[in-house]
Amino acid sequence: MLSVDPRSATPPFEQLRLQLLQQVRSGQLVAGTKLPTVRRLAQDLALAPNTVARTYRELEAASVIETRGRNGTFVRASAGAAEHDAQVAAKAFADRIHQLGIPRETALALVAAALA
Amino acid sequence: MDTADVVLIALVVLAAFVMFSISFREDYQARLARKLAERSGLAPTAEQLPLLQEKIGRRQRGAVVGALVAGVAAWLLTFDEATSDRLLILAGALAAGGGAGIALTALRNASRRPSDLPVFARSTSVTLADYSAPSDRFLAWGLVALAIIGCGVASFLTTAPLSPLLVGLTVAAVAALVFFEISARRIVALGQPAGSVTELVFNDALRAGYVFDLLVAPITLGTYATLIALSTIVASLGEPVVDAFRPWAPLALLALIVACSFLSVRADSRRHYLRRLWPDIAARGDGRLAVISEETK
Repeated sequence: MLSVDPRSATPPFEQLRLQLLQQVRSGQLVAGTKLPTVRRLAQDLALAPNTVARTYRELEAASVIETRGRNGTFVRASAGAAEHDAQVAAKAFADRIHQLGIPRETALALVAAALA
Repeated sequence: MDTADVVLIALVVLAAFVMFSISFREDYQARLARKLAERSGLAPTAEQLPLLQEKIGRRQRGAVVGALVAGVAAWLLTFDEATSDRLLILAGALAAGGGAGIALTALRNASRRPSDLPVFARSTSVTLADYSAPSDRFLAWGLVALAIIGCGVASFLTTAPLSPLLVGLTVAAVAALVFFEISARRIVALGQPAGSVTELVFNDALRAGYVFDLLVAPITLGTYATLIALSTIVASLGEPVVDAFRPWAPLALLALIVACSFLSVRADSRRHYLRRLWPDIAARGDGRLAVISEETK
């Protein structure tokens, strides 16, 4: 989830950039995830399209995301292949845990036990 | 125009008037909002409720106006057809017009938020597949395909030209399916400025509802066209086949309706968007209405 507060001292462009960066680094957005289009995200966050475009450009320059022509903008697989595979597996595990309705603590305990 | 025409048009207009008027009533809107909340498993906050009710009321008015215009136009344009055919056309026109009205309402009333409040948005791209269950779309595509195949087989088996009703309903079913695919994608592509995560969930719920309602027209028209094509094929095979088929036809129709209802309930397609976009809310599934925090996602 992204949130932009127009009353914040941090410019909207920076708020957006930091949140996307944090979500990619934490694995919430795994490599290959498709991001909303510039126009769509600008509409959703009530921002000017140029603000979102600038955020995407900065993140692309930092090799966090990549634009694949008309296919859209994706989270870049900048991490190693093993880390990427682990991210995908973790996301699949988390989705399944949500589906099964298992509490977060139980799920984390299961992972810890499996890794031990 | 005979008395039956006048009575039927008067009944349709009266029903539309009642549905249109009632959509302004707050208690009625609140009831519909409660139903939506129960289906989503979320409780709207006191600030969200008026906006949600307003959107629900607008959606109903769009459906009523669309259905009324299409229904009356279809009835007036089919004077030369048999009454049973006209009723079938009327039912199809009501479904198609209702869908068109809902689509126009959704596209014309995109959400706007004041620019000085915090806004929330999801960080991933969404597609039509997030809002429309595969089983629902499969049903619509399947029925329209069956209607086209039925038309082809019927024209192959009969020497006489196909009935204009069968051709018209098949063309209308294809048009309704194309309309669904285009307008549903446009609705999904609209921006969703939301002041909270809960508002975004309800926006998704409404959006999934619009998409579901748009599928009613191709399913209805496809079913009618398929049934007429089937009866044309059976009739073309001669009297003994018709006699053998006749006692089983109502049972087959009943079995088809029961099977579709069972599959629909089993697939739980109305909560498909929750499973795709809000898996943590969908996973709860304990019937409790929950107020979610902004940290949920």
